[in-house]
This record gives sequence, structure tokens and C-alpha cells, in this order.
Amino acid sequence: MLSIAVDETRCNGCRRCEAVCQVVSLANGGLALPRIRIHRGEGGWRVRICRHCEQAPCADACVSGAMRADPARGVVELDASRCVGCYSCVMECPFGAVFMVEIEAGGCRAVKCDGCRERGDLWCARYCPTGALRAGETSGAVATQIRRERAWRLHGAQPYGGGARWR
Amino acid sequence: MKKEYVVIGNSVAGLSAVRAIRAIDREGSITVVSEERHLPYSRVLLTHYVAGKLRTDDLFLIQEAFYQKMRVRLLRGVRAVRVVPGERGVELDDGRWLRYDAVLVATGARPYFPAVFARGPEGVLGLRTLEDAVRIREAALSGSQIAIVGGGPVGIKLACALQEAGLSPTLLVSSPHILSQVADQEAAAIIERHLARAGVRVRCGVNVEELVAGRRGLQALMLSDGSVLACDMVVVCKGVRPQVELVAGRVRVRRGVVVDAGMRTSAPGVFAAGDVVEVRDLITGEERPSAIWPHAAAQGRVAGTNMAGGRVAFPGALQRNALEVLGLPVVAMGVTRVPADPAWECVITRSKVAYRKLVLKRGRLVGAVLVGDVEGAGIIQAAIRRGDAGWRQLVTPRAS
Ligand SMILES: Cc1cc2nc3c(=O)[nH]c(=O)nc-3n(C[C@H](O)[C@H](O)[C@H](O)COP(=O)(O)OP(=O)(O)OC[C@H]3O[C@@H](n4cnc5c(N)ncnc54)[C@H](O)[C@@H]3O)c2cc1C
Repeated sequence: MLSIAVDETRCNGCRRCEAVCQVVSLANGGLALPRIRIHRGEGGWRVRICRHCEQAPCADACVSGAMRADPARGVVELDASRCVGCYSCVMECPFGAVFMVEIEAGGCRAVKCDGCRERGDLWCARYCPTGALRAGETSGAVATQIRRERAWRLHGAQPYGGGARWR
Repeated sequence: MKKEYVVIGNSVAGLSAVRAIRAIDREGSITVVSEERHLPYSRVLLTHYVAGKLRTDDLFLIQEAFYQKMRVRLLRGVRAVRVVPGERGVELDDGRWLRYDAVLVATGARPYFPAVFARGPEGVLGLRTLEDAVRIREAALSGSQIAIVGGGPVGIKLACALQEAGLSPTLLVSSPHILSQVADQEAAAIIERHLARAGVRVRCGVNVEELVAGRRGLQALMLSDGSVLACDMVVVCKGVRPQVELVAGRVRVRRGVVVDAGMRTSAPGVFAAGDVVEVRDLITGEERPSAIWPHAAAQGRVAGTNMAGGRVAFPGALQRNALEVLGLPVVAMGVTRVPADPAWECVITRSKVAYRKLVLKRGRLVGAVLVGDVEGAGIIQAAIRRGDAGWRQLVTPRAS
């Protein structure tokens, strides 16, 4: 099971994760582009990386079958060869973690964290000096933090399944 | 006791429900009834096929093996005629009767044809099925003149596709601007200029008043501005209507099948999901047909989970559209047109390449229109869902 816990309050904006990701992505035969992006938001740093949600809104919205959540393995996978560049996933991801890159004139494809594929645990987390990114733990405090963050981002105060919140 | 599940409709809502049922109930029997003979395909990709960017093989969402793996009995080319909640059964058009413990109505929607097009001659069609797309593609390849009626997302995507296929299509729009149900006037104007530069003719404020047909079918359209548009095919993209016939009179139906947050209809054991239902809008509270893919996927999962005994809820509809208009990305979410009322305000940023508008009601984010730069749109959607007051950080996209 892959798990990524993000604590944005710990991020110091060093961007080491971006650099490491770029290298790993290239080594895996992908584009030399970071699949994690750090930027300054109001009151702190924003860590834009795929959280591999169990009920991934990007996968729900994917109209081509390119984005799939695999709950058994705990990853959301993107098969770039099936992506048609429709922006549906970009519109859905509450973490802003799917990026569009132009691969040919006028043609875009989605790019996002692939969980370092066969390369063991997450390299960005391994090199994160502050603990803003943590990986590999699926129980205890990290898991609780993951669940809380997702619930808040995805559905506001009310977690998924907790009933409708009409306004 | 082994439960019997019946799923009517083999598209995104139905598939999503099948996955959810199997995730909980490994024993129950699942039967999927599909009027279409094809394996499920993505309707959204039909315009990509018309453009010549994808082959028919690329449109399928899953392979045959899926049904074996999920232990699903798939009845292809079979239509469910009616659902009879009183007897917990479904009547099929081949005379068979399927008993159920829980049934899902995921029959989607079909194109709406205004009166002038009803019973039109050869050459009048909608765009909903693979067959429709194949006919349009064939017409395009044989150099037909094709007109498109309707300035919504489907009409625009089809116009772009035909342009990419080498034609110079005309898009006829009755409203004063395109995307009148989806985006605001300024965004529409930017998109219209982009389309015009690419060679797509857009004519707003015109209606089709009459069809002129010859022996070989459609020849021209008589328009409300007195002009005549020669064409041998017209594709009507004026929205869709839920396919409710099989349950009408036996469960509550307004414009679509009425469901609660758990996707239950008014009849016990009968669930519904996808384009066939009517759902409550998260922001306006209005009940209206759902009609977008991500809703169909999420509702299918909620319905399937509850059919198998789980307890989950669909949080409500948030109308939204993502479009790629010949290289120009567009995202519209929530409320995009603002009433003249001091409680509402807009925060707009304009640059050479982008137009981004956030819509606020009493200081809370309720909608957005992004053209040219849709980076981080999902962060904005999440903020709309939460009803954020802390929206200021979202105004300017980050410099990369
Ligand atoms: C050209 C086009 C572009 C689109 N673009 C977008 C987009 O960009 N973004 C977006 O969010 N949405 C888009 N949509 C809408 C999207 O395709 C639908 O929201 C989605 O397909 C709904 O899925 P569904 O499972 O509810 O129903 P459908 O996909 O309509 O499937 C219903 C199935 O049920 C079958 N059926 C119906 N009645 C019966 C019966 N009585 N017995 C047996 N089977 C039956 C039908 O034959 C059909 O196969 C687009 C649609 C079209 C046509």
C-alpha cells in the first residue's frame, strides 16, 4: 500500500522534492518534469502532489479510462497513452496535483505522481528534510492525518458518506 | 441468502455500480441489461473519433474480461421494458423476466429534438451513440455540409471536431452567445473569437424555422433571420432528456427520476444513477437532471454500495464542465452568471492569455469560469464545495 502524508505547515519551500522527482521521473523513462510542485499560497507553502485517494475524483471524472484508482494497491494510476488532454482531472483534483503538459503542438497530456512506480518508496518523501512529506506508513498517526486532510479537502467539514451538506 | 442484483444500462453509472456491489458482496448474482450491443464506450470521446484522433477501438472503457472477473451476466442488445417494484421484477423486450432484490436504473439520457426537427428527413440526427458518431464521420469524409444546432459543450466540441476533420462547419446558436447555460458572456466572447480564428463559423441569435428536404434527404435549413443555410446533415445538440419510460408511473419522476442522497427512488429496492436522475444542486438547492460524467460515476458507486447494504451518500450536484476548444482550455463550475443583486460579486483577472472569474455570494465562493489558464481548477472546485470565504489566494494563479 502506498501512502503519502502531507503536512503543509512543515514545508519550508526548499523544493528538494521537485528536483528529486524530476530525476526519478527521467530515470523511469518519463518526462523530465517534476510531478510534485511547491508554491507559496496564502499563509504558507502548498504541496501539490497526488494523495492517491481511495475514491479519487480524478478517476471518477476521467472520460477515457486513463486515470484509475486501484484501491487494492492504494494507488491512482495514469496511463498517459489513453489520455486525451480533456482537463477533466485538472478540474477535479482538490490538491491541484494533476498538471497538463504540451506534448505536441496543441496536444496536452496529464502528468501526476506515479508513486515512483517500481522504485520502492517515495523518493520525494525520503529526501524531504522537514517531514512535510511522509510515506510508507498506513496506520497510526500518519494514516489519521491522511484521512483528515482528504476529508477536509474533498468535502469540507463533513467527511464523505456523512450525509449531504446542502447550502 | 444470495442477493440478486439487476443493473439496467451498461455505461459509466452502471459500471461504477457493478464495481461497488462486488467490492462488498462477493456472492450475489449480478445481471447487467444493455440495450447497446457494444461494450461500454466513452460518449465523451465520440467527438475525438469524429475528428479522426481516435479509432472506434480506442473508445471502449473496459474489455469483455471485466464481466468474467466481476462474475457478471451481461445481456447485450436487450432492452428493459419496465421495472415492476410491486413484484420485484424487470420485464425485458425478449419476454424474459428478471427477479431482483435491488435494481439500478442507469439508462442515461437521449438527445432532445425541438419540434422542427422531430420526424425530420434523413440527415437529421443527434450525437449520443457510437452509431451517430460513425454516421457523422462518414458524412464528414464524403465532404458533406454539416450544420450543428446548439451552442453548449457538445455542439462546440462537435464543431471543433469537424473543423479538425477538415470541414468548415457552421454552429447555429439560438442564444445571444455560446455556452449560455454554462459560462458568462465575456468567457463566451473569448471562445467565439478563438473559434472564428480557427475557421469555425458561429452564428448566434438564430433559430431553425424550417427544414428543406429533397428526395435524398435534407438540403437546407431556413433560419429565423431570413437566410437559408445549405446542408445535407444537421446535428442537433440541444441538450438531453433522461430516459425514464421504464419506471415512469411506478417511481417518482419529474424531469428525471427523483432520488434521495443514497440514490434510492421512491420505490423500495429501486435505485437510479447517472444522466437519468434529477439531483439537488449543492449551491442553488435546485433539483435538476445531473447530466455529467463525474456525477454518473460517483452516483453509480453510491447506488451500488447502498444496494449491497452499505450506507453512503452523494453529496449533491455541482454543475461543471471542462472543455478543450481547439487548444484553448475552459473550465466552468457552479454558478457562473451573476444576478444583479448586491449579495453577489465577481472577482475577475484578465491577462493576454487568460480570463479567470470567481463568483461570490455573500463573500463565499460559489462558482468560477476559467478560460485559457485552468491550472489548479480543482483547488477552486474544492473551495466551492466548502463554501470558502478564504478565496483570495485563488485569484491569481501561481507563477510556475
Ligand atoms: C458527445 C458527448 C460529449 C460529452 N462530453 C462530456 C464531457 O466533456 N464531460 C462530462 O462530464 N460529460 C460529457 N458528456 C455526458 C456524459 O457522456 C454522460 O454524463 C454519461 O455518459 C452518463 O452516463 P450514464 O451511465 O448515466 O448514461 P449513458 O452513458 O447515457 O448510458 C446509458 C445506457 O443505458 C442504455 N439503456 C437505456 N435504456 C435502456 C433500457 N431500457 N434497457 C437497457 N439498456 C438501456 C443505453 O443504451 C446506454 O448504453 C458528453 C456526452 C456526449 C454524448
